[in-house]
Amino acid sequence: MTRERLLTLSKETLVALARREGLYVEDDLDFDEDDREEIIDQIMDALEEDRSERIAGNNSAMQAKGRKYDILLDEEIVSQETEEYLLPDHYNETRIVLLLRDPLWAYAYWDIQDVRLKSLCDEPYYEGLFLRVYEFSSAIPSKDHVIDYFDIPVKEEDDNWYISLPKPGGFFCVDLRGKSLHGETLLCRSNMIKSPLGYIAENQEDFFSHPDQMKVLLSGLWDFEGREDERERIPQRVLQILDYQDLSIGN
Amino acid sequence: MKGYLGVILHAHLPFVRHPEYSRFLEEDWLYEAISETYLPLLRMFGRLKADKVPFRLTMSISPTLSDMLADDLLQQRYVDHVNRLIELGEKEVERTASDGDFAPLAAMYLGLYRQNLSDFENLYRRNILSAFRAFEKDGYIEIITTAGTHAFLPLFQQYPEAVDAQIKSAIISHGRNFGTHPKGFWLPECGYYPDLEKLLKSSDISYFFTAAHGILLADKKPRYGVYAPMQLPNGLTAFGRDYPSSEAVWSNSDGYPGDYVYREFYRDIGYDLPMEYIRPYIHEPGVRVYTGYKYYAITSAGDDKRPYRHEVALRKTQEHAENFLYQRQNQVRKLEALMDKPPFVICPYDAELFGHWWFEGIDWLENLFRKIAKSGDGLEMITPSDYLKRHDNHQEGTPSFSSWGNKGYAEVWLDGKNDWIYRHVHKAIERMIELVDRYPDESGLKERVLNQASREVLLSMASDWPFIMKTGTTVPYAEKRIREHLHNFNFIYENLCRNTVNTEWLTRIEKKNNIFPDVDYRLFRKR
Repeated sequence: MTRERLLTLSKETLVALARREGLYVEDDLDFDEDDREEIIDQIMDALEEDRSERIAGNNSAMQAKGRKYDILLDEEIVSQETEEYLLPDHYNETRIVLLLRDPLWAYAYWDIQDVRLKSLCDEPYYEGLFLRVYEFSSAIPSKDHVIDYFDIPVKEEDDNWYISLPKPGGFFCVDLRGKSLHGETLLCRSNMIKSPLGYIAENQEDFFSHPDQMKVLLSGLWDFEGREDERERIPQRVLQILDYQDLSIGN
Repeated sequence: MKGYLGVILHAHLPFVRHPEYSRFLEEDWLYEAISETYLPLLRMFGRLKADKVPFRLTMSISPTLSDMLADDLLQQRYVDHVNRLIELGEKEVERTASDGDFAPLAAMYLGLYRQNLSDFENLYRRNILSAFRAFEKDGYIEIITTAGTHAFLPLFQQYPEAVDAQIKSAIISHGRNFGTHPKGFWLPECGYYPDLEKLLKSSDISYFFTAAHGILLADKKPRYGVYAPMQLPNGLTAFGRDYPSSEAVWSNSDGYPGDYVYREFYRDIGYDLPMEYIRPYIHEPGVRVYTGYKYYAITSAGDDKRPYRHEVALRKTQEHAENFLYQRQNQVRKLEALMDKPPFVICPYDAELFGHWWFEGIDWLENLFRKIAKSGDGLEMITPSDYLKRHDNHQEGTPSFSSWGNKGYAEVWLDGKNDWIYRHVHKAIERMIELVDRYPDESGLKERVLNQASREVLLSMASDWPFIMKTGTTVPYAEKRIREHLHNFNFIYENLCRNTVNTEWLTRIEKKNNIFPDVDYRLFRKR
């Protein structure tokens, strides 16, 4: 997006773009030339900030990958396709799905059949919905294998949630439940996920006689000399693993 | 010294084809990659072959890219695109004639585009896939495949039917485009989850790649780290990415492409020259885009740029190739002292980085290959297949869920900006499986409808769209693409349920989203 391009846009488009960038624009702004210049300045600043954030929020592999889509500069409002494709808001069924994002976070989305939600809400002394997150000792979701669970209250209008998992390397599934004074109602149960360990497995036989050997072989830090300033270029995951497993990198 | 270097170039672009428009902005991704990466790569391979320089690398060429490169409409549009750039170049040569800095650059770009047009039309007869295949037959490259529409597979693991459809559609496409069965499989974004190997094995795949921590955090401690493959319980092998050699090329701060003498990507006459001059060569209506004519060097971190000097940049690629080789040789020396077999350093890169963003990247690769051939000092370029023929007794284990995305897992493709897509894409997958169950053996029109339904589901699974939603600049287009494929699928699903099929609509969609011409909807058969 260039200043020249912004200057060609209508008042409505500029206001919409400014609001999309999180800028405050008065509803009845009387838009003289000075206002227009000011809004364009603010949009340019916001776009620059977005770009910096995008770069800072990605590792080098993703930044490199993103560059193959760089055919223009911040031109988000352009889309030649004029056809609108509508998707249903929901599928009128009762289900919950759990996706693993990383060793410590999962994402759940759900849907509740209209009649089911209505009948639940109409129950006397209905108190609300909540997610129950179970940790199991194996992939079999039976009572015998439950290690622990915790609840997360959600609202009727919610339909997804990021869940902080208590630890890596566990089996998890989620119930969507309703609560009233009479007790709890199970609406649906998710699939099971297994989060990764997030650290180096301990073998009975340890091949490594010296931590340096392990650093070299496992992490690719073959030219690491132990200086503190070198930590900046070591992937965070590798540092975490080495620090967590007390390999005292740099010492 | 004895060690191996495995260079993997992953060539991929999402399926973008809009016959309903005379020109379409995002189709430029393909045209720029042909001009700046694929044709220059082929020329580089040709030069090395002519000079009898031995080289060996792995190329994964995605099915979406292959099907686009084989498409008549896109081939014609590429020719039109290059002709426009040649016309622009001729004007630029005239405009810059008295400018000592820019005149040679305008002439250089004009020469490149003329060469591209000539290679594409006369040398390859518009079929550059066959050119890559010829280098494979000659033993210089090994071509492997990746998921059908480049889906990030860990987020579909609860649907083995869909993951299998991604794998099998890719293998069918590979057979159609290259006439072979691929031995290796590039997992999109290195996205691996335990059990994926079972589906790969059932498609007769021998090996795949993971991020370094996929091997590092495997269920058994890896004896050789990422410098030897890991054999999984079902016999497949996983090769882990070497971090330092990737960073040497990719890092914003320390990577070679950031050197100040290299060409600046973001200064382009598409933005620098007056609208009335540049208008015919940018996007309609008057939206500025990069044209490829770029006259400045990176120079510094700021906006003040010096004119680009190509010969100086080419000399720098020699220096950087030498440095890379020196670093890898040191790495191998250190590793071989700790290992009882030659270390294998895996260096995977997105192919489009070379030539497109890092303009001199292909020259750097060529210099590297020539230097390895001349003074590799025991460092040999091989492919994973070569390694597996020479070595057995691999370290054993099952890699961890991992990717090469930011923070190493699924965060890039599952984020507040793109998470809404999964409830819809998952639903479409479930409905597709249901359709196969309901119509297991259709023919004629109904089979066409079901095949198109499966194309739309596969297209909706592409990892490119959530990636762009999270990171890119063409977010509205990415969102629209997901919505379009889901909308098309839902339309088919509802019409099939009502037993009404609009042939005119179907034919239009078949012509537009014509990927996987030989797709069989039964790929989604319930397991």
